[in-house]
Amino acid sequence: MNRNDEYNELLDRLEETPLKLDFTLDRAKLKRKEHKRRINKAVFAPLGTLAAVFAVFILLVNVSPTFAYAAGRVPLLRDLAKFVAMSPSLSAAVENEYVQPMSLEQTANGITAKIEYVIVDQKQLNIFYTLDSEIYSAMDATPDVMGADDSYLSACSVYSGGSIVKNGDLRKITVDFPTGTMPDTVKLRLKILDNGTAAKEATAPPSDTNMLTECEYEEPVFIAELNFTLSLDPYFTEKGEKIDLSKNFTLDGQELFLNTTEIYPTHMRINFDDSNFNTAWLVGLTFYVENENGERFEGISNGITAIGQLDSPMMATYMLESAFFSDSEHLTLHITGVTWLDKNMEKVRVDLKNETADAVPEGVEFELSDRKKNGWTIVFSAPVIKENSAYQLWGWTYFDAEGKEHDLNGMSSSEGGYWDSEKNVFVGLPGRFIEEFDLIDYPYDEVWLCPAYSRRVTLDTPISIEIK
Amino acid sequence: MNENEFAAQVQILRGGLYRTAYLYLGTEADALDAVDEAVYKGLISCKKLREPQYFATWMTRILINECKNELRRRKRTVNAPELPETAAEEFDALPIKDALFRLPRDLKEPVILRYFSGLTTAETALALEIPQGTAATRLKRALKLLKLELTDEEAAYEQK
Repeated sequence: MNRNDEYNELLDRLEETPLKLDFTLDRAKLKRKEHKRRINKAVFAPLGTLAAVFAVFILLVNVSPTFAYAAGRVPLLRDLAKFVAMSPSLSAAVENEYVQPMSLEQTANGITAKIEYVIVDQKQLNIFYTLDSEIYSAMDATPDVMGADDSYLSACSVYSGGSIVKNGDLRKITVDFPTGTMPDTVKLRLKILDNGTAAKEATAPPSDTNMLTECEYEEPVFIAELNFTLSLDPYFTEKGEKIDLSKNFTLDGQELFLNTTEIYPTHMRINFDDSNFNTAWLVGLTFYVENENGERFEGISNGITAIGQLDSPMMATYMLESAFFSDSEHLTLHITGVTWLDKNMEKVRVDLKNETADAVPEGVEFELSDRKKNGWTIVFSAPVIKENSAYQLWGWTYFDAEGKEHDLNGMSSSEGGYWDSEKNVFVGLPGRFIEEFDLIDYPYDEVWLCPAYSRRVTLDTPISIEIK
Repeated sequence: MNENEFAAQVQILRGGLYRTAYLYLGTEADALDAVDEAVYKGLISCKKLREPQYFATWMTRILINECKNELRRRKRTVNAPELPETAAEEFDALPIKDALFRLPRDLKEPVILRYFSGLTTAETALALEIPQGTAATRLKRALKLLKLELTDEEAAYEQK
């Protein structure tokens, strides 16, 4: 056999592709869906305002001698101390000089990015950086976080604040590792957006609202891309401890199992499990932790607050401010309230035509279902919750009568009323939280929605459990 | 490119992607994993592809990166080393698949894309980010080492 015959034979062999190849696209879609679900199941709390940051900083400098000492003694950390004043955990880290300086700088297209510091432990990386330019005055950065081999880190979630920041002022990117652990090297790509242009585009008149359209994602035009390699000091990336607890307890008639507490410099985690015999899933907790000196550590109010499970609606891990630097000998968890999703309410039928629902979460009212050319606009209202101005009433997945799964493209929430697109009038609802979404390309008259919760309970007597 | 167009194009290209990955990595399982990862990355970023005529080279580039990542991951495991271009006799003695695996990388890559994956010489050059003349020269050198008599015009794979 000559070489050309050999070549043709090899080609023939390669022509027979494995059957599994036929489903590569299905696997890609499934992976994307699982990734989205993982992101959706991490519950974020909103960022505080800049004014509040300054107020807290001034207050801390005035009342906390150690804080004033740390901020004053290390002039370089002064800006950082001010920046993290809203976060008790990061403030404690700065007070204790638990900061890895970086001093990395890159310039492209007239834009300079400097990575000044990181605060990192086993599970969370906080990157503090600045952007400066003589050409652009309103920039924002979209971060990509990768491992040393340039592959995207799939086991992490990246969170960067969206408020307007002046050139030269500190900005923060938080990378959380809900399950994985911190690598030694992280690559960061900052894709810079000119917000001046973006803001102009945002004022463009709205398009025709009578037709529901797929919200096509338009890739923003980035004006620069800056790449950094962050070598993380093992002294910091090893920090953290996990305490086995294995305690059963009953909460509002349901059996829960307190697995472990994790204490890291940047945050603490409390991990629960539940009983198969429970009639409801745990989807929210109101709680705090207290040490022997009466010092309190509250739930995280600025970032990821809880982490769910992929195979159930349960929110199993709760995040709170860190006791790492507090020298606490004992820590006690106090649970004051709980949010449940009853198992018989995981899916509820909603009659879109007659604006009725077989069941809705406690306090929720079905306000509007407006048929469009190719789908429906739906509005629900619920009581405003002061502590959580942006809570969620329904999940991102819905089903048709045949059980086919669909995903929502987006949700909007507001307070005080909604626009009735059917009657073209504003319906005022003072004191009510509003959630609105579209079912696109959905011609049917009924839909099965997934409540995010079914009821909230405030405990008459808080439950207290020692966790350290 | 929207998701439906992406899905249609992937169905057409998947065989070529698999052959490319197989010839880079040498096993069916690794090739499937690399194609899966490349298709996933293509799916989540297909809206960035503004010129659909470059779909094949764009996807091939994603796939090559995946294959290279995999090769980097297994660099500590023992692989048959590349042979230099001067080792004409050794190439001659090997079956074509083994000879292909042991070509220097700058020669192996154009051959895989041009003669096994179904890309044209221009697309091969684009996917590898090299000038078309360079791609043509490397193909000629590789064919000489492999003792294959395929001209560019023959487009051997396309004839099959």
